[in-house]
Amino acid sequence: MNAFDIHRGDNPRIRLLLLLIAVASVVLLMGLAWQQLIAGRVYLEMEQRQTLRQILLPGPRADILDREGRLLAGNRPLFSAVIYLDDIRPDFRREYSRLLREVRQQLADNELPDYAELQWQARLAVVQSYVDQVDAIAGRQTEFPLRTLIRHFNERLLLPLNLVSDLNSNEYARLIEQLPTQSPIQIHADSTRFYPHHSLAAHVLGFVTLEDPVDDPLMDPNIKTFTFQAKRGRTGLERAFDERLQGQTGAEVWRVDPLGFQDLRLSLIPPRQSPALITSLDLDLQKAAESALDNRRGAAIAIDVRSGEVLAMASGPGYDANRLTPFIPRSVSEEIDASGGWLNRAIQLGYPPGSTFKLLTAMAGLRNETLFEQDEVHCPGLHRVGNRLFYCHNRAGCGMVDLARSVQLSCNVYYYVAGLNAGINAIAAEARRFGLDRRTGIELPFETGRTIIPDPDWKRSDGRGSWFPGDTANTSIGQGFLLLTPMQMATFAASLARGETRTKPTILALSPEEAATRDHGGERISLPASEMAAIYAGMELAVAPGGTGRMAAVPGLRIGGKTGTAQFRADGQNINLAWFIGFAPIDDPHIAICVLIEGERPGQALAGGSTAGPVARRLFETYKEKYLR
Amino acid sequence: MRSDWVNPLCILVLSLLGVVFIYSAQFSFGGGAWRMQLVWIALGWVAYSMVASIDYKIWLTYAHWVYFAGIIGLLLVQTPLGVEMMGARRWINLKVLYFQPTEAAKIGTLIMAASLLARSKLGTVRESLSILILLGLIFLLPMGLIFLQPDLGSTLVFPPMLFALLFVSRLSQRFFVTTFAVFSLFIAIVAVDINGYARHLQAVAEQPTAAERTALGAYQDRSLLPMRDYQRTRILTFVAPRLIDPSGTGASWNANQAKISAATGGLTGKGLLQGTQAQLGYLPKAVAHNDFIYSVIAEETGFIGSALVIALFGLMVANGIRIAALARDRFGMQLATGVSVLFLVHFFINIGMTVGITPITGLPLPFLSYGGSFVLSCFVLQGFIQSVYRHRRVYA
Repeated sequence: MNAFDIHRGDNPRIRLLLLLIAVASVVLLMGLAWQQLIAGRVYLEMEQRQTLRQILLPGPRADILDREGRLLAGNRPLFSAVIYLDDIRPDFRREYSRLLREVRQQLADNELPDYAELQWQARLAVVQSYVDQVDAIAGRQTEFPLRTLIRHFNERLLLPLNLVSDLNSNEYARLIEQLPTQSPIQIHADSTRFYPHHSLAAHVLGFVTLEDPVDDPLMDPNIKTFTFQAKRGRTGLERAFDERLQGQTGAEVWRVDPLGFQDLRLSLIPPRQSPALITSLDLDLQKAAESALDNRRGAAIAIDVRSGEVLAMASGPGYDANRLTPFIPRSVSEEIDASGGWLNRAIQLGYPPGSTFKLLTAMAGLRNETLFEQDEVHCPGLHRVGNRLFYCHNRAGCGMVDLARSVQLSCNVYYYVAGLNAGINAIAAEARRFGLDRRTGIELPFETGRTIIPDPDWKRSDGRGSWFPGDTANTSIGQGFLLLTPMQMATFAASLARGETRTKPTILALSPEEAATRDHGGERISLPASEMAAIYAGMELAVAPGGTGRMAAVPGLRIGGKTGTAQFRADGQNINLAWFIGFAPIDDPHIAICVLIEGERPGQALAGGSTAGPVARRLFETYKEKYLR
Repeated sequence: MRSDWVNPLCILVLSLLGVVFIYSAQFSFGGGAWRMQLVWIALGWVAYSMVASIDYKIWLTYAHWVYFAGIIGLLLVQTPLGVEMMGARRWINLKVLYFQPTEAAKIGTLIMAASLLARSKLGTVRESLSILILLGLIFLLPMGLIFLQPDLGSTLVFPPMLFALLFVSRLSQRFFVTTFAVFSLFIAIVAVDINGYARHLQAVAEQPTAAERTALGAYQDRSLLPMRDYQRTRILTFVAPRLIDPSGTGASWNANQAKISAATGGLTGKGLLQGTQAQLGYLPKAVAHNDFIYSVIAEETGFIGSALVIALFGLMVANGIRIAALARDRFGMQLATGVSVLFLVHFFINIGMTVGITPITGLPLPFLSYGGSFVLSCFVLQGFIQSVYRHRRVYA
């Protein structure tokens, strides 16, 4: 058969081949159309996941100011020497090939080096060489840990690597001056929280610590996100208004290469600082309260009577919040533990209010019509209830005592009688009228709810048995089961001053309109004016010569006050408490205060007048100098 | 003598597109392969013109010489003249450049088979048994040598070519039915083998220590099929990517990146030099300008550009078959068919890789992928088609 035989042109199998080609082309076209025109979205997400990285930039934290705009908490710059790993990739490559050559010379022919291990060795050596540069200039010596480097590569590749952090101003100056201009080492300025008055109002302001942010709304689950550590408020205002203080987080979106190094910044939303948080605190009053408290265990509070704005809120002992940022050193933490300084005693602990509570017992009696202001009670220095004797603090007896005088002298016998006549339920009801059975609701975290207004129902349900008249007698003078916070007593003083039953305290500055129209949610006390006048008169007399609170007196300022002394069991020991509540000026009250001081040692003799009185006087003095000029 | 203009036009457009996108694929890494590609294309046109102007019938006389030259080339690869790169010996070092004898062997085998079939009349299997055995040997020799390099992809382009030649030679239908059955059986055996390999991998992964893992050894030492484990891994990567590479960053990286490249191109593409997959190196730079050039085109020109490429290939291959039908003698018909089917296999498998319907085999895309020997062989093969067109005997 000849190879050049004419082949019949109508070979049907050739036509079949054409069909095969058509099918193959159509299959490819359909696959392509599916991928590029229909299923594109899925792949677009895959592409974004691998090529996009987001960096979240926490905004500078907002300042916290006092009511006159004076800085209470702000930021100060924190300088560190950093390096962007992208800038030193050529160094990594050079060092790696150098190491590889070195290792290959030592290895036998058929042995293979551990490439990954070498890679890390090279990277660490390069980073350490830059650390050494910084150290040489700053005069330090530090070793860069491999673990930190690996972690940085895996989790924070796009962020600057900290070579040396928290440079002091001296080191900063030397680095700025001596670092060669072409050096990849940069000085990175971060900010850290700063409390210019150190321990001032520490419990109100709180403090922040650095945390890895979670659940930021800017975090896109499809994009790998890097974040600088954010400052999180741990307590106080820093915690209560954390979100508000944090400001607007900024974000950068970067396109990266397959190794994860930056290629191009695609977008930038700069972070924004929120406007400052203006508190109701008055720096001068706060300073006065704290210096008078003198780091003793206790609390001192001043409230604006009309608006409920807290002008001062001190708790002792305090701590310097600057020592707690950016993180809490163990030694500092232990020191504060030992002093008991973590606690904000103004709101976080209930105490028996002692004689300051007698004002409430009096009002319960008046409302119940079992007590009248002109009724006199004879105090022989003690009173028998059942088969128990209850003593007056004046064992010699106060003689004939009416309502005003009972307040002035703080006569116990008068209140045993008044309380027993009114009955425990009337007293408890009156306390609830004044809102003392609930939290004050001030905008600070961790206000305790474990305060107690005792009555027979409470006692029974608490498993303490049935109610005895002696319990009523104890409650009448603010002892027994009663537990109230200094802030509750401060609001009580403000309510009493305003002639209303409730005061809603706030730690934020109010506008004049808000302050004038603020609704505290209570009602008028609505007891006969003459009877209330007797109570106010007694309070004024108490701060006058011959009164229990005379040490709170300020010449030229008419003050109404009530002292108190109470016993309190802490750590199994009896601690004496000194109280003072009051307000001024008595004819047009503006400021209400509450002072509580714990005894330092068990059994230490404290009296409301002599221990808490001087603290109150400092507050009134400062108030008078500042507001009554 | 009239020439065919369809295929040269397709070749021109495709080869210039190739240069542009080789340039783009290497743009951010500063490679200069596009210049070399221009040189190869220029040489390719010279070779094309020469082959086209020579009457193809001359190859009937020299077919066995071309064939043996290719076989000798494949054998040289295994001598010290051969060059090993990335674990494969596919090149001969000619001092000035590396030459890939696989390409020469493809041409030689095609001519050899076509000349043999042109001289014989095929009918039933029994009648043509001796021819079939001879053909089988002609194909198995280069396939075996190429498989040993190893180069699975290039090995696999031979069988379709053979079957196409037998098909148009009017071999009885029963042969193809039987072959299909045998092929299916073969696939089944491979499937069982791959399944065993997958279980082996799982067993290895469950061993707690490195020593115990190495103690289990390699699957290739136990299997009866002459496949290497990396080839099994590739097949497994295609059928069950999750098993081999759960995170998509290992064995299935290339396949995934190729698909992402094409898919994110959309309708109109990201624009020349704007394809992030290629520019940032997600498509590995070692393969972006050769095996994965189509992904670059798909990413940067979108559906419009990549569909055009498919259309050009479809047109070129179909026109080749048309020319096979126009040929007035069996040798010309065989030659044009063989060449066209070879191109069909290359273009279908390579583009299918980007579209995700064929496994990653390392087959380049004719005229678009970078590569000297391959570009030259493509031009020579298309030269045969032109020769068949120009030198067909016209009666009446």
